[in-house]
Amino acid sequence: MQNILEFNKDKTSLRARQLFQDNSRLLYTSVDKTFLFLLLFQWAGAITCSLMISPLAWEGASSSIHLHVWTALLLGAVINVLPLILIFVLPGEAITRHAIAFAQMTWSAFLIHLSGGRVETHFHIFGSLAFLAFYKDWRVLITATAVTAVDHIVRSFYWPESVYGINYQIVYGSLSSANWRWLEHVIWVLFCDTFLIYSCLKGTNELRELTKRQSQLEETSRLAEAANQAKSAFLANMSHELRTPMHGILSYARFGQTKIDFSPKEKIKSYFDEIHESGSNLMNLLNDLLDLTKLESGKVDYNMQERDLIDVTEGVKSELVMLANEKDLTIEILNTEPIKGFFDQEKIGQVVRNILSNAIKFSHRGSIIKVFYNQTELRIRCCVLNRGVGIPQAELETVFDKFAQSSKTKTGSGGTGLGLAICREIIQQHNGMIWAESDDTDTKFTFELPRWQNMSTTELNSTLSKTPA
Amino acid sequence: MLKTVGLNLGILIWICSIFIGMKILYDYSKTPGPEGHSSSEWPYSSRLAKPSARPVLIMTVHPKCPCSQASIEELAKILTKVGNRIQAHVLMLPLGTSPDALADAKNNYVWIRGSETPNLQMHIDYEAREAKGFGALVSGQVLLFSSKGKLIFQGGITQSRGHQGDSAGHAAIVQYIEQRKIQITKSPVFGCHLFEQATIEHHTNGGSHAEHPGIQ
Repeated sequence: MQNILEFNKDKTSLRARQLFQDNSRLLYTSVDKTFLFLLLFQWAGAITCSLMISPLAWEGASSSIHLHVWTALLLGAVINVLPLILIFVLPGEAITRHAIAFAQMTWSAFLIHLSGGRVETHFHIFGSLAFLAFYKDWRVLITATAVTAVDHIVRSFYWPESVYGINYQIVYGSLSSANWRWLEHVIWVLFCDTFLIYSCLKGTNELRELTKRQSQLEETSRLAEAANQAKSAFLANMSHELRTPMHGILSYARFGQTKIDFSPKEKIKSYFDEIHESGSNLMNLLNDLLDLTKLESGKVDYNMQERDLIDVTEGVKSELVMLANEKDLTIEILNTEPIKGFFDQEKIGQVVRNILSNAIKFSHRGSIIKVFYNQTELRIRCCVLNRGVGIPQAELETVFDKFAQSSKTKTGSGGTGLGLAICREIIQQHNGMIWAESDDTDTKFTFELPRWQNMSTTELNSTLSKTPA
Repeated sequence: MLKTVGLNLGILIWICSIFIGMKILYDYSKTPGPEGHSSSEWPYSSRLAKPSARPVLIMTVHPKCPCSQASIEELAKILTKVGNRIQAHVLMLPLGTSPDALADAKNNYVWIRGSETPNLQMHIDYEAREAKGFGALVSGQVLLFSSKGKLIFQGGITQSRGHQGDSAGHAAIVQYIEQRKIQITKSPVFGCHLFEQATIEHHTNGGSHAEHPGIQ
């Protein structure tokens, strides 16, 4: 399972990134909605504040609506209009939260002004920064800080007394500090930013970690589900495959039991022949199942030694020549020179046997089955080419699955449907590859092995020096 | 592309609109009231006790002016600093002579706050007689007279409309009380007009108030 997870690392990384983006978007949209209400609340608050503190401007006994009321109403609407539109039209987007940050800090300046510069209202700035930190996007805090800084800088030159300082030059004739008072205020904001940005980054990293784990969990779950389904399918297939020969055995045994008294000897013998054939098929199936199970569970010990593939192929050919002769087939090994490599002779022999058996089974009568090898310094490639019924293009991968047989050969082909699955396991465990190519008639099975397996550099160099060029 | 350009343009217009709005607000806040022509000596017609042993500070207040809340707070801070080295008076100008107007003159934050402040006397300035005598035009205007009755300072003690905090006027008054010297003698006054516009214009053009009886 761990190897499969490693193999799927790119997939899980992509999924983790997607999950992170989805979760971030959800967060941004949620915070946008919170600010929707906050911005409206502040607008209402500004209007209320202006009506309570400075509702009217007076000239003697005459009054008019105070400018603060108008600005609370109109300027408040202007401050809110763009963020509110963006919250509805582009929720979760970067431009929306930056517009909100701009508006929020402008509200701070406005509310401070409406309240007559009350110290308490200045805390609105720090509260706003904390709210904006909910986005876990540190860039938003930069926008907010920039707005506050620019506001203070502009006012410190345009209206220095407003930044809580007097123009000392006027009063004492000494160097004015009011023009630089903004710096102290901005430093306080930056001080607050330090912790908030750290918190944002930490929060983002935690979210990334969570999404990474979630994606791994999803992949593990998916693989477990796939394995479970594969197991169920395997059990279903296996029970079917086991039942067929068992049914044959029991049926013919029953025939023997019921008809032994009055059936001729030849008939009884035929029943025993059928029982024997079904039993043999059952045994082959069980052997293949056991082999495949051992291979898949990694419990096979390979006897890796330097061997000659031509020798192995010649050995398999001599086993199968009788079978080939029944269909007037010829097995030709095109290479003559040795093909040396490091592999398990018995297991690779099994691979060659399974492929050649299939070739014999599915070749046209009287045709030639060709076996040829290519080799480089590091790799060996074996090809088995036969002329027969062919394999449909869509099934070139699936023929290597358990209990899978080509749709062109399924009926009456015999076999357990596990041969190519066993071949694939053996080749993959040799760090090699196996594949099939086919058109309507010609079929080519190819497997490729690394010539040297898990050797140290010294051993490799030693072996290479002994190998003739 | 068009959408992006439109969005950027919209953002630019939005920012500019906010900037213009805030500028209007700030301009209003730092626009002082008209400067009157106060006498350089203590007006002889005033019924307030003439300065003798210590300087005297006069502040005129419109009962409805929201900006004067900041002025009374600043005055309280000044008096906290200087203690009884100064005699301070606040002249509250009622908006009429009716009982309601007189009740309103005492039923506001400035009066209540001022009444709680040590070394500060609150007065109702009927028909603005004292204010006119001192030449005050704007709510929150402060006049500081020396112990010899000379006008030392006139102006405001807030930095802008309705804003508490350090101001040139505040610093000048404290400087005079503590050091008996003063760098500035005037500062802008940020507050509502004490009188109708016509009266204001008359005074800013050099006119003066008529003689008047005292206050209660």
